Amino acid sequence: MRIAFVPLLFCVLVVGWAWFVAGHIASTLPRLIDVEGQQIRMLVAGQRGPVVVLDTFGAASSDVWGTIQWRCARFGRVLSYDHGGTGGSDPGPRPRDARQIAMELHRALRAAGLEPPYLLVGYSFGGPYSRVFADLFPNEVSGLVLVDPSQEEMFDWLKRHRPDLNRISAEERAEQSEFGCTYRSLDQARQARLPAIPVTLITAMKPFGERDRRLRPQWLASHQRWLKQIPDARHIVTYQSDHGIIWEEPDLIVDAIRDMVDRVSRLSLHSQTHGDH
Amino acid sequence: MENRRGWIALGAGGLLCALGFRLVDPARHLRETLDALGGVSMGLAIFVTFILATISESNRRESSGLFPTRLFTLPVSTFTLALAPIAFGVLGVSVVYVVWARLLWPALGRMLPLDWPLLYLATAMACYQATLWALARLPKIRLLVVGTGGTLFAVGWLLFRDDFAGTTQLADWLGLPGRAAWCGLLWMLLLGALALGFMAVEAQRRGGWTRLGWWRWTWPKFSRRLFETLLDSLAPARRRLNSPQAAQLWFEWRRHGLLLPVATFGLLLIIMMPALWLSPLSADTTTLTVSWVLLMPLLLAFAFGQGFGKADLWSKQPAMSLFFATRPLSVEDRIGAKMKAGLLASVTSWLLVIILTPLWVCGCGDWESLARLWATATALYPGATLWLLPPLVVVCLILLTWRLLVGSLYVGFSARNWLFGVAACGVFAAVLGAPLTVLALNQQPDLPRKLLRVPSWLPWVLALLFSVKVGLAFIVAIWARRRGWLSPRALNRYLAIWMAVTASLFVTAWLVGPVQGWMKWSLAWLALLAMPLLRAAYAPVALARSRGR
Repeated sequence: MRIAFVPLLFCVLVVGWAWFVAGHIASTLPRLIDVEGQQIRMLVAGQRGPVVVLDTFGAASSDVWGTIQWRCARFGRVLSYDHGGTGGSDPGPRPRDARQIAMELHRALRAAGLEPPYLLVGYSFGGPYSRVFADLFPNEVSGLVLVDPSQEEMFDWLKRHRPDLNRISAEERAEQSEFGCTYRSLDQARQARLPAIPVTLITAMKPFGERDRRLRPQWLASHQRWLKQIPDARHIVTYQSDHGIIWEEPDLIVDAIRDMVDRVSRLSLHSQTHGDH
Repeated sequence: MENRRGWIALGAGGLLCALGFRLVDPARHLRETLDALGGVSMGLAIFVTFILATISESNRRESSGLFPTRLFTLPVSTFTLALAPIAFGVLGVSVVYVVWARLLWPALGRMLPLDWPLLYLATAMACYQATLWALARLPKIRLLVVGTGGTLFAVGWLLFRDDFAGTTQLADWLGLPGRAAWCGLLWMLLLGALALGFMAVEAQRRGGWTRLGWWRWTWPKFSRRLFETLLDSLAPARRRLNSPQAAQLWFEWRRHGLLLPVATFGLLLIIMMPALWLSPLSADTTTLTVSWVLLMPLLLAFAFGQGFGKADLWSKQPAMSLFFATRPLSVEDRIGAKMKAGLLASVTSWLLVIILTPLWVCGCGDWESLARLWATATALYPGATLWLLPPLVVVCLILLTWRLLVGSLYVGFSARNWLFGVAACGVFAAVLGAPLTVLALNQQPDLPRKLLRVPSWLPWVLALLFSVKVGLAFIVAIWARRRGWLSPRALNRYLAIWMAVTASLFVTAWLVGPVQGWMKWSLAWLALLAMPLLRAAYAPVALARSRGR
């Protein structure tokens, strides 16, 4: 009996490729973590190294971190997750302010078996959330990378000069969603005191449209003024990206996170050595 | 009442819809879906009424739908003969509309008007019947007129909406209230249609359009000549057809392949021409139109693909005629010709779209939204990828169109009525069901959460199903090879094509998906599923069997 060699080889190759792809999909799918009855959709990439927590505003799914998360997975265990009530996570208790988000994240980290210290990366409104987390759990945070973060000072300035922007209706406030709790979360971030940890802040200066062009200098100034309060701070200003920096310049963010991991490791080594003496 | 069953089915459908809408609580979150369902069901019911109310009969000798000749034996005047079917059709479509407007829509909390819609439907019905009778001996022109008129009718009711700008402009020009002007036009059309219908029936009763006798004899010859010349220019046979395969390819291209480019071109004109009057279009309208234009070849290929495998697409008989069955061509030569014609059709259609769309956007549209999209793309993709993506995407669109055309070759080759029926149901279900399903799913508040919770076992199950499919395709292909329906060369060639197409789709999917992780790999998975394997393996079996039947 003659064997149809080419079709057989083809079938083996195609089926093998299909299982290979299926394996990759299965291994890169986010899992559901049970946090006291609340299902949180979470993806942990990477096997070893410090725990890096990626956070952003809840309206964005954790999948936005895809490229950055998998690149950072080479040197750390990197976590992204959907806030309660957004993406694939169950709704959580209200109000959905920064404190609530931080508490939920803390419980989720414990439920996922990820031990501190944590290196927090907050993008956009994830910046205030990360700062509130660091204030609530100062002994569990080793470093902070803020990627074009929302700053309370900027929102105050916008309230005075551009009241048409960031307007939140009475219904949205009453709903107590993340968006409705924007100013409440910013107040919590204002009150937050950072522990003595290294901070890196990236400011994206490329304007997105004419209106944004006029606002960007103020945005930069608010970042600079806030950083003056931080003893161990680095400021990276890029003119290559606008606020969509996580898509436009993922390399810059990955480098900043890697740099922070190195700084945190050196500090940890230094404190250990110092402790030995 | 020749179509008694049809009318009964229509009535039963209406009752079912009425009952369904009464049972569903309109206050629930499915409100928009129910509205869409109501609109679609009413549109379908009106369409079916037009088909059922058609009063014409086939004349085998002349192959045309004339006014039923046997009715001329009735002792009534021509006026009564012409008026009665039109009145019957008007009554039918009015009843259908009233049923929907007064029984179904109120259940959804909407009250539709009766005055102008009834006049609109009556005019449409009268025009339809009169056109059928008046152009009975000119079937191609009749098809064109009915098709164009039907399209205009399907969108014309928008003119009666108070918020339509055109109505206001006409009203200003005529110094009349907008709707009144259009209603006046409808009355004129209705009377004209009645007169035309009467003249057509009277002419037929007297043996034809005697005063237009020269036209009657010269037009068919002229139109056939024109049609043939057009086809020859589009599918020239100047090259020597030095092999049966080349001849078959020429035949397939001329008879079936041309359909897709011609339909694409026609629809492009229908979509783009109105913009010449409405220009400059807003940026959002331009983007929306361009999106539909880009979807069009794919949608058309999906619809045409179900019948593309037929020996003669234009024949009403699904079975292969003796003439086709006995041609000195192997099964794989026939399939090869179909596939090549399909590829030629896809390339031509996309060339038309690629050439005409930018010209149209320059002339009537606004680049702003498209420029914004490009700006987003420049942000998302690095330089080399950015310039590589447009040609790759075009190639993939061509390949996908080709795949939609030839993916269901086995349906046509099988020459089985029930399979055609299933395929047609699939097309209808996809065209009507997909948007409604998306609409319904959109309104489920928990749906996005459920969709994002992909269980980790799902990829493995899909891989298992895919492996079974590949295994079955292998068995079928080897069986076809052993029966002599497929040569090893043809089989290997298809496998090479499959690999090449899948690889290009995979590369494009990999480059397009900017986010790594499960989403990127899922796109890679879709690329793997795009090209048919089992269906392609079954195609020669279906053709060989129907050929021998």
